[in-house]
Amino acid sequence: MITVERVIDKRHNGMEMIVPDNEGLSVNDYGRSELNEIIRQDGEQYSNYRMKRFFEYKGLSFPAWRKISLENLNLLPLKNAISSTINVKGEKNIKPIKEMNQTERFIFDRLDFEGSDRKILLLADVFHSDGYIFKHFEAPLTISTDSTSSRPSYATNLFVIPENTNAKIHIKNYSEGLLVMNNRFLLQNGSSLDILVSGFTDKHAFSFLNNFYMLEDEAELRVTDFNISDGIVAPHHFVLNKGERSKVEIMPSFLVVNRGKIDSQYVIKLSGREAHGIINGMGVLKDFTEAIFRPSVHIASEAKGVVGKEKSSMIMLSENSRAQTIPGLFVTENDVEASHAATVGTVDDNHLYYLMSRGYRLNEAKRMIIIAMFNMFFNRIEASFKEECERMKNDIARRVS
Amino acid sequence: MSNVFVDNKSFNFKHEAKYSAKSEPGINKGLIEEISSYKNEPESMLKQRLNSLEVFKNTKKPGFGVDTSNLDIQKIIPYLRPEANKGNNWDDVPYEIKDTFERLGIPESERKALAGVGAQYDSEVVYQNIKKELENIGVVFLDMETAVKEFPELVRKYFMKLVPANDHKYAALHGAIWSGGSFVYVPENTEVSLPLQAYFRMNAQGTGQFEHTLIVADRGSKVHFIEGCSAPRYNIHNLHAGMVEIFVKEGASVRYSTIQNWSKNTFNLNTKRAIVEENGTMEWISGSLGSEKTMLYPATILKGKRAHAYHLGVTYAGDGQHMDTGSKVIHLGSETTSNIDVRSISVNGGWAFYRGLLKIAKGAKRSRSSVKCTSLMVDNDSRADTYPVIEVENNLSDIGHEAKIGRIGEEELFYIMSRGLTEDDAKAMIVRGFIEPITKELPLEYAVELNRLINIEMDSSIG
Repeated sequence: MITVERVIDKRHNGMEMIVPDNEGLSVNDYGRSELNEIIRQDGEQYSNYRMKRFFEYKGLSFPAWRKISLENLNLLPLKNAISSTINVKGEKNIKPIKEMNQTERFIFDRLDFEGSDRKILLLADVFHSDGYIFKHFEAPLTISTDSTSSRPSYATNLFVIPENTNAKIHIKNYSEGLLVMNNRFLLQNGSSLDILVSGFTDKHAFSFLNNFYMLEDEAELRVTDFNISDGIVAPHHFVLNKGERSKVEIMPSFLVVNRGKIDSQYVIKLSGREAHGIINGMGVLKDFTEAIFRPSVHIASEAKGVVGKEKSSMIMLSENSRAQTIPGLFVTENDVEASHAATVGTVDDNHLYYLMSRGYRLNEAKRMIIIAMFNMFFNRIEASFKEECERMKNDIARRVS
Repeated sequence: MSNVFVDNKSFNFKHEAKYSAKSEPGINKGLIEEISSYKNEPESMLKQRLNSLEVFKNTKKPGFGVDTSNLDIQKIIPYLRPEANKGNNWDDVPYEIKDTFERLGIPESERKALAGVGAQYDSEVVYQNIKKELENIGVVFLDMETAVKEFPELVRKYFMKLVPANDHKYAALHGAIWSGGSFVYVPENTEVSLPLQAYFRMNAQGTGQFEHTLIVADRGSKVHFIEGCSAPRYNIHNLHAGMVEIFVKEGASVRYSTIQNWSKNTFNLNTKRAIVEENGTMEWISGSLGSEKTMLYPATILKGKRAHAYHLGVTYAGDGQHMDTGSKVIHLGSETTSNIDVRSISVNGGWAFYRGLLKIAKGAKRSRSSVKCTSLMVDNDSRADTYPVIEVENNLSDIGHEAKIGRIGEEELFYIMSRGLTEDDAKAMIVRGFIEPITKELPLEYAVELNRLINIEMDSSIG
């Protein structure tokens, strides 16, 4: 039986909280005929994996999200789907998901989760055109995935970071159409993973990323999630710190431009003793944009000595933008440190004053401050992803004008 | 094993009061017509009640908060009229009822520290009085039924205009079946120097209380209103679905203080909302201690320029209690400010959930807000959650939010115990310190009462 890891634990000591129903959205959906087309070549394990999820998928509706509307979501023909490009050394430990064996199937099932929405997660789990199982690879691994206005991209990957090994991964998504990517990570005892996700979502495009990480004892994870969006993007990162003394730091950042919208969710569930989880995010909104930032830290009962912290700042550069932040803390153990801090506002007046007193005009001063904020952010990961950081810095400098 | 508890003993007593009318459980059109007829209401109020009933029937329960699946409205007795004539002399109140309020300390408080008192027993107000000098300068403090008849224009203008029946299911229920409550009108540039108080007592088992409080503070006026509530404990559910609407006019200031101590068989599904005009100030000071399940989010709409809101609250979630509380502030006017400081204590397996909303609308330029949530978990069988929603629609405002959840610090305990206190006393002192920002905002008598309520008793080892 598959246990789906949910974001919210709705029960406590016989009491229950009510959460909103998912109001369904009518979308011209894929069905059995599309599934039959793509499972012809599947092995037994893989076919079972898809079929089981397909039955759940059919019972669900796409979400009628209020803030980020999926009204214009169009599921394009699967025959045109685009595959990811992989750039990695040590390819012998990488194999297509179609070749999954029973053990790998077990890991997939163990790493099942809700995603930003279960229906969207299952869309890629069932109808993916490609996917890989990565067991051990020499750094760095880069996976690039594109979608175009006529060609969707659905991908599902599994990464196993073996005991006491280190890995670096860069996931690069560029979406001009519909892109849904699910990644599941198992960090075994004492392993570490440094991952950078960079997403570029174009006008009218939809991009959904669902990443789930399970950390065993003393595993360490650093996630840097960077998004530039002119379309609709919904990154979801869910970290389950099951292991004792496991550590995670999530650093989200985004720049939303034109009429772009982002609904980002970062979840850390700490259940291992002395585990640490930190979310430290920032975002900038321009033009007619909308951003929702939802970090949450959940601390399970008996997770003693745990530290869970969230911090975020959102900068609004336009009077026509809208920002929403929902920093959640859910705590059922008292021997913990749990806190969050959030700010929403515009560029700091003191910083502006300093630069303007040195002869810079208002807009130029604002631009410099924003670029400096992003640069400070990228400097923290530059040692691991130097080339990509330079590229992102240049991209930001070009777009913040 | 910890045993930090709210002392309910002084509230958990029952009287066999006499009633002149007791409805059957459940609500229906006939009952509403009967209540309206008894209260001799104008046709417009009956119409409003019946419209609310239709909304109630056609509205789903809120899709968030506590589980109310074991609350069957059709088993709740919605109307219970005590056999007492409404008056302004305690000696005219029947002995059983008077004794109840004596034991709750209401007449004594009235003599010492209040400008006026309203006392409601189940569905009707049995005592209402205001100091003569305030009455002489035009301050109105009446039970709601009398206000409907004596101030029809004001009631028509304000009653359920801030929280209409279609706001949510329990607002609709309230609109259909409301009974009792207070009406306060403070004239322009008038300050009511001592607080007014309403006390709501639910005495009978399986009943509902649906009082309506309406406060209009005219331009430049100032008033402090205190609400207290309690009930004896029964084995079947009681329901409280009251409503508070407050209109703070230009430059006026209203403070609304509550000490809620319903018994642990009560569903407390209350609605409180204020709207503030230019330069006005609204302050909510709340202590939510009782009930089995509570959903309560005092809300302030800052409509006028430079209007200000201050929300200060403490929620206590003990054994079997699920408290879903919070604050809502909506900034509409420019240069508006708000300050929210909410605290919770979770103990003996209780669940305190903070659900907040702070919204800065597009027109609320140069607004500022600070939101602070702090939760104290006294043991590791309890749960504390914070879920604030912060929504900003303009780029000229500044919002800061911080939250912290933790336990009683060992260093603090050690420090206090090194001064000769026992561990239990040290913990009691820390908890009292934790809620001190709330107690120091209350009049002395109420601060003492709140501290008395939160008694702390513990044996050896906590956390």
